[in-house]
Amino acid sequence: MYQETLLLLKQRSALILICISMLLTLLSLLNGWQNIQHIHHEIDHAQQEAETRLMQQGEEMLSHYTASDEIAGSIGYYVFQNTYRTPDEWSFIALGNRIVTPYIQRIRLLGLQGQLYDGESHHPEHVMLGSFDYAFWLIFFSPLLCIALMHDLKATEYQAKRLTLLQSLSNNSKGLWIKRTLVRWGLIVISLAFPLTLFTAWHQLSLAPWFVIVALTVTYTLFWILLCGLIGLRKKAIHSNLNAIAMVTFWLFICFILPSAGKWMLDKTYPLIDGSKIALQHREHVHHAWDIPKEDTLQPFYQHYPQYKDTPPITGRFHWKWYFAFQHMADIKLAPLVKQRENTLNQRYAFNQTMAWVLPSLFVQQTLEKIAKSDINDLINYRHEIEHYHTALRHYLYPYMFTDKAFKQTDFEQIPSFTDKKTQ
Amino acid sequence: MINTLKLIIINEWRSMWYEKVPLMVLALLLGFMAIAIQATSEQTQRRTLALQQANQQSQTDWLNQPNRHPHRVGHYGDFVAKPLHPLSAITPGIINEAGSLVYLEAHRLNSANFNPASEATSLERFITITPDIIIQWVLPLGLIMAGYAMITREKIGGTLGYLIGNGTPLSWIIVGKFIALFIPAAIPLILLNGYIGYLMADSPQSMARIGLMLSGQLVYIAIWSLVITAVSLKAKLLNQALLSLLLIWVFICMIAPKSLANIAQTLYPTYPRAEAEYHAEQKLKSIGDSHNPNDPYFENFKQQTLKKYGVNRIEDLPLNYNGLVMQEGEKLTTQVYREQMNYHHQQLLKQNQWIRQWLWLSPALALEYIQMAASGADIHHHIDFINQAEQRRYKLIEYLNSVHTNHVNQQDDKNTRNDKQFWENAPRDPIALANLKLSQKQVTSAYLVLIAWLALLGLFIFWPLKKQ
Repeated sequence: MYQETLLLLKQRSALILICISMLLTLLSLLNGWQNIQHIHHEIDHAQQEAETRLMQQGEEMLSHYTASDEIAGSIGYYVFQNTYRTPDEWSFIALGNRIVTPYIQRIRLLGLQGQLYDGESHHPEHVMLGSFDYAFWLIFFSPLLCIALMHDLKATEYQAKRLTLLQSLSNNSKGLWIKRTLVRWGLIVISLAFPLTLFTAWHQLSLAPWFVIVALTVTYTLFWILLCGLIGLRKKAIHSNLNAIAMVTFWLFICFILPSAGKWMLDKTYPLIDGSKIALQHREHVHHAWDIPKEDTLQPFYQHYPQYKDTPPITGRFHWKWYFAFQHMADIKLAPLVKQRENTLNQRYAFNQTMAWVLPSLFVQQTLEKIAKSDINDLINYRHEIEHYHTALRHYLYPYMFTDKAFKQTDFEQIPSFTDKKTQ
Repeated sequence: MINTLKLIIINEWRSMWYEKVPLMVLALLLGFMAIAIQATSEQTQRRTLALQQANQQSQTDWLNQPNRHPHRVGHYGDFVAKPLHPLSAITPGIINEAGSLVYLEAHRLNSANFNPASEATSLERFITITPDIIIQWVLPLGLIMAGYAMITREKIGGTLGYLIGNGTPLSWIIVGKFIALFIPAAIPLILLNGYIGYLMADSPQSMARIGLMLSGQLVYIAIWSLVITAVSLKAKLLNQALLSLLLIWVFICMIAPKSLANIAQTLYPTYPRAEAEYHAEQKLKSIGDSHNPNDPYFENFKQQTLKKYGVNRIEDLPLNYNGLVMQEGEKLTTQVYREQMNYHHQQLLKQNQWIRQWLWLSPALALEYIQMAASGADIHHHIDFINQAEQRRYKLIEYLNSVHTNHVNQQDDKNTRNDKQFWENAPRDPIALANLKLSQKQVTSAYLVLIAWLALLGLFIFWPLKKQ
């Protein structure tokens, strides 16, 4: 084994390839890290500011208005609360949808469906080009390393007229090829896993994900080594160039053509209702309320909140309780559509999972995104968290508007925030 | 001499025919292309349809409004969907990554929302094989497989020396091989673009756009044909030729574009919209708060208005003072929000500007920019869409505020409902696809990169031959 390793490393091109791979693996890790640090930095900054900003706005409300329903209503209308999609410790490994979805979203007491999808701030061209993270590097580049080191395994010996000699040592010839293949595989794994391990140690990251990622790296490269071995070590594998062409064609299929075909099938089987439908319907539901008698909004609302049923009817032109009741009713009316879309998203995710069992490149991408918490599942979870928080906010402010519960300075300080909900 | 050239080309084609690999590559490429065109046009149609439906729904909803107070209509607002060029079926560009629907509302500047990329699954993180990606990525790979051996093979077999010994200049051999590789790739491209031109003749600036796309593609393919010829000429072993070409391909098509995009994002990061909105709101508050009755800015505005109409009290004004305040307030918010929007767009464009400095690294990225610009799916077209939407928003809100000022009685302001006819007459100019000229800077630099590559490669190959 040792000798075979030396033999391989004596080839300058192989050594250079391994070094390049190490360097670029490290760069892919650093780039992922940098992206996540930027997100962390922005979130930290926003969190630090949030409290002082809130207190300032709270004082304004309390000094402007005296009636408790007015105070609570204005807070619901004017005061935005931040919600955060904080990256996970290992998010840098696969940036996934974190490069395109907002990581800070401002929420106020208005209808949630009108706010949930706001906040574009990314560069669309660069989302399209994709991120240079470990997932990309492992999936697309490690097969090329295998191809580069495996395509001429038998052929160089043939060209150097040593092949017949080697084959004639019949006891050893199989073992020799296995040894040579193992050495190549080992070096490829090291060129990927070593920088990863270094990085893990440097940032003192938790080890369980590290273990899974290394295991993925080992098995994914093994798959490619075996595939390349099948081509490069078959009986007639004496033309290294033809071997390389065959391997690259496999690569093209596994990393590009089949995923594209899968995507096409996905859109055909589980087409997603366009999000614009939510926006348009939400607007109709909200504004229709202004054109109908207030009781027509309040009665259905009271079915969801019977505790406010006996509160005095609205006589004036405007009351916050009616305003926020129709905002909430819009969300309730939209719930089936939102649910339907979410179901489709879950089905699409399930389709991915099924397909990942036959497509190794997809399996790696999906598993890494799961570890990184940057897949569609995590986005749906974040939306649910926002929804729960929005509900908590509503439930906190409703009593001041519906019953005349007095609004004191301390009541403002106790308004739930997104972060303390998460720590609960 | 022309006959010799013809002979070299035909001979190369003959050997390609017998070698089978080039033929298989060609067949595979054509197959991929056909499937990609089908799949991408389906996807683009679905997207176009969804956006058209959104526009139509928004239109009917708008016209079906009952009698309402104009300020209510200002908050009811209007939706505009992004116009797509039919060429997106060839180059979808940022069709999935950029928001496609903007909500136009009084004193709010909403983002463009609903991009399919946000809700994408892991499968959609792979590069989709669309027609433009085939030309940009897969075609060069196919050319490599078909042509890496062109000259190396003759060198090893000794036929090259024989040809030269017979008096055929090496430069003619190189030109012949180059043409033999270039023509089979160029002809399908010309046919494809011709067919697209025939199909899409009615679409905006179709001829200019397709011309731009085709010429970019041809230069790009010429570059690759030259690279392959050059490497095939220099390499001593078949294997060496193939591997070097594959490495060059990986760098030009995969590593360079991704790295540049990622570095640009790190150097000029974008900031969360939430933060920008907060700062805009704070700034507005410091200028003037139209909701605050004691605000100095609006107190001053009141005095000026009274003076202008020569009256002492608001009640004596010939029009609705509330509407005037709305107009003034809208002016302020629009100014501040546009500042914020422009800052964000500038940040995005800084990323592009930085990449332009390094674009010479990757002709593939250069071609990408040309193709995206040609199909109206690049950042410049997107920013223009956002700007047009914002223009339309301001015009519409201005109109509603003027209805408020002139057609709502001040004494009974909040109970007034204006006739729905007002909404039918509201200015709502349709959003047009941006002019191709907007991408000029990007396209010019991309072209320069492509031409420079072609010229330098030519120089690199033919200069040493001259001296001999």
